[in-house]
Amino acid sequence: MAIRETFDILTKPNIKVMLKQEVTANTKASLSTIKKLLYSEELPVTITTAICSVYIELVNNVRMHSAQRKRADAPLGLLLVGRDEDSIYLQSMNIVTNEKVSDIDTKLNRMNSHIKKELRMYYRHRRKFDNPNEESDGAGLGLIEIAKRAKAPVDYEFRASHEGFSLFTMLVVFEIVEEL
Amino acid sequence: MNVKLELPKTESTPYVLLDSEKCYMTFKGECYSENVIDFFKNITVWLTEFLASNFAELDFDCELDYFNSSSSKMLYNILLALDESASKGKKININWYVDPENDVLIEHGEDFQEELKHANFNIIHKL
Repeated sequence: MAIRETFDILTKPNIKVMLKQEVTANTKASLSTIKKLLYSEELPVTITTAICSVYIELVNNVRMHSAQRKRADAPLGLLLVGRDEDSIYLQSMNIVTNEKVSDIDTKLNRMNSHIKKELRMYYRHRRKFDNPNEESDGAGLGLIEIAKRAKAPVDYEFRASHEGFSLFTMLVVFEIVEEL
Repeated sequence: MNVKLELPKTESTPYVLLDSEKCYMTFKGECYSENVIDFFKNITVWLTEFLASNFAELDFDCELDYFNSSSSKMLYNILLALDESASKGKKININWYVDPENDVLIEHGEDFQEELKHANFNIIHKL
């Protein structure tokens, strides 16, 4: 990713939470900050729960797939939560090995092609038949949960980074409609 | 077996009470532990021993405000074990407490409810 684009992302207006470096170490604290933000907005409880759900699954996704680690249990990545005029957005960025690109791309494509009702059934199917070790890799139930809760298809991309690695970005946007 | 297993609520794990004398279980809080298998390990051990014991009825109050997908799998396994016990004649009552305006948790409750064939699974709207 070009330096200019990185700068643009990190200087987006209205970023409320930025979790960087060892993403799991501060998950609880950052979730607490997000909750305060959501409660202060007095959003419907369903949207609040959905946003927290997506945030935690994005963290888990970075945890399981980041190819950059300070230690084995300290994956590096970046998570942003921002508030625009009419939406709240969540964005994750992390480096993945190119071997994982095809697998994640296939899964996200599949998620985005399902309608909500199908995703609900697919989630139940995977929960029933996956074993705990498989589903906890962050690329199974977690991605389905993100797709279920998102109001629109999950926006994502892979960009070539250094040799053998790509930068993986996911963006989930929740439109906030003021009740009249 | 341990008669009683009680775990304090943390930011990422719920308050847990498992009491074999009272034939009662409760989870209350949030559940998104990064080490979900570790968190549920003692709970699973307690439940396995309890379900093998001579009891007639079990009540399980589940009042989770949020849980992640990994915890969902563990909850599903617990509910399946309870349902299997119910299929053998035990009376199992599961009460799923939700905010009536929280469609996410209501949906989870409905999905669990549809998976169970023998246990009583009640979705209860909190006042």
